[in-house]
Amino acid sequence: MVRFEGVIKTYENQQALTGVTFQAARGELLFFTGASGAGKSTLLKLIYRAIDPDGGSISVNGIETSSMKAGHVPGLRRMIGVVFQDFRLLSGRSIYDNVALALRIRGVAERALKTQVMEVLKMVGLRHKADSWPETLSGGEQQRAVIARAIVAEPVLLLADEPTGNLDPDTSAGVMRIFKDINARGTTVLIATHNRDLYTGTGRRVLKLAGGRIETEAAG
Amino acid sequence: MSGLRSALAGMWKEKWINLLSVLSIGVGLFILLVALFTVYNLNYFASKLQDQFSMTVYLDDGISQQGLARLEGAIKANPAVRTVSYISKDAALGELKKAMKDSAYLFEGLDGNPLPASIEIRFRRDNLKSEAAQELARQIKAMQGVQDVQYGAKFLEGIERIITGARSAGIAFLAALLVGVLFVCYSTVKILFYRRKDEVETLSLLGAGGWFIRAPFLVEGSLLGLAGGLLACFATYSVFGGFFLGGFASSVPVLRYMLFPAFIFYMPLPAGLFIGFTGALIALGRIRI
Ligand SMILES: Nc1ncnc2c1ncn2[C@@H]1O[C@H](COP(=O)(O)OP(=O)(O)O)[C@@H](O)[C@H]1O
Ligand SMILES: [Mg+2]
Repeated sequence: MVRFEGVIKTYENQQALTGVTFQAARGELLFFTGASGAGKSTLLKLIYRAIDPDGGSISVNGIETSSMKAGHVPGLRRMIGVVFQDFRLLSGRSIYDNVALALRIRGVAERALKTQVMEVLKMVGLRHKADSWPETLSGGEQQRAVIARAIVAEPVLLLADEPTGNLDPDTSAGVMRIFKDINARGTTVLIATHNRDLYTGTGRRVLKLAGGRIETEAAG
Repeated sequence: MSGLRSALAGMWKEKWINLLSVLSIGVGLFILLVALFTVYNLNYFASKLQDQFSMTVYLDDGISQQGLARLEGAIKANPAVRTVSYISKDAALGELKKAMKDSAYLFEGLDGNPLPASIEIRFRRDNLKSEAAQELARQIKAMQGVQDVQYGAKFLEGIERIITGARSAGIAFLAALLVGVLFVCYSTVKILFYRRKDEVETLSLLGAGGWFIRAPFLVEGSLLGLAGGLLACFATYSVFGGFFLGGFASSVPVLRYMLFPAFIFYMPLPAGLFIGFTGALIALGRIRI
């Protein structure tokens, strides 16, 4: 589903990734870990082309994205659901509209969209917050709203950047359960986290980033 | 529908910028209308003056019936000519006597009729150019049985100058205003876009295509233009409707003869909508998303 070959990313002469190579199989649930500043967010951003690589090749769902034309980027992004580290909920729109946006962008008709949105909101425990503004939600609730937006369109690939950064251990466990459910339905899930509890005991692959490359690979 | 709702919500968030731009658009469109109204009436006056214009062909005393008919036919063949009327020697003298009946004694010693017969030519509007009139006069003068041709050459040139002057000044002024109003819409939409750059970036990261992102801004630009148009309509109604047509107009004679074409009352709406949409389109077309 995702394949990196010697991927290099340099920010203003600071090397964030010096040559990352890995493959994530279709249907896999995979963790990236590493110290803060190790390049986890950078790696995920390269997948949905928020940033361009400076070297190497990246392919997503069989598509070579490093040489992709700008006009094809929206199509790539619509295959992917992203749980942004900084949330990116739109203020001035209700939680319902924020989640529905992911479907509207994909051209889903208004009639068809309501049940889907409400179902996902129920899944993340935010059904009662559908009409609230994002600003009025707690950090944990906002986090779950972002997850709802990322999964509502059932993307083939889900990327989550520190998805439990704002959550207490119990809620974190609930979020992990959601990711496992989504993954069980066939979505490939890539999670970047520094939270050991999230992957310990899962038996899933955990890739540890250090020095701008994958340092170790282990089972969680 | 959701596009319209989110556009309205977005506009409310920036109500001061929007209010300012609606005011500018409204004022601009109103001035545009006043200018249009002025040009329209200048044109109207000038063409009414044109109706008064005539050319007189003085005939030789000895002209025959056939000669007269041939002459009339030749003049009528000119496409600019509307009517041709013959004034006989007697009719001419009668007119003169009627005009000078207080000085009837002047005619007492008159033996015979010294006045020539004549043909009066009137012209079609829009088809009258001073060069064409000059050319026609020259042609007629060369025809048989014609003594002289007289017409108000300076008068005609004057009208022509008024019309072309009013038209080109009007068009230049209107174009400048139009560009001004367009620019207001253009820059407002551009400002609104940059103030919502975060939102635009998020939409883009979520996979929205360029036109999905631009659409609400297009709706906003159109609504701004429409609101400005509404404002201009309101101003037109109160100024032209109340002030001019009401008490003021009847006390100023010139205004009584002015035309108030219906378009000045409704034109601001489609014009505002069109300008708002176009301004937004230009603003967004130049933005890379
Ligand atoms: N936009 C940017 N401009 C400059 N440097 C950046 C930018 N984003 C990230 N970096 C740097 O790249 C490195 C990797 O960052 P990041 O991918 O965010 O790490 P992580 O998500 O693992 O904490 C860090 O040293 C960070 O300072
Ligand atoms: Mg990070």
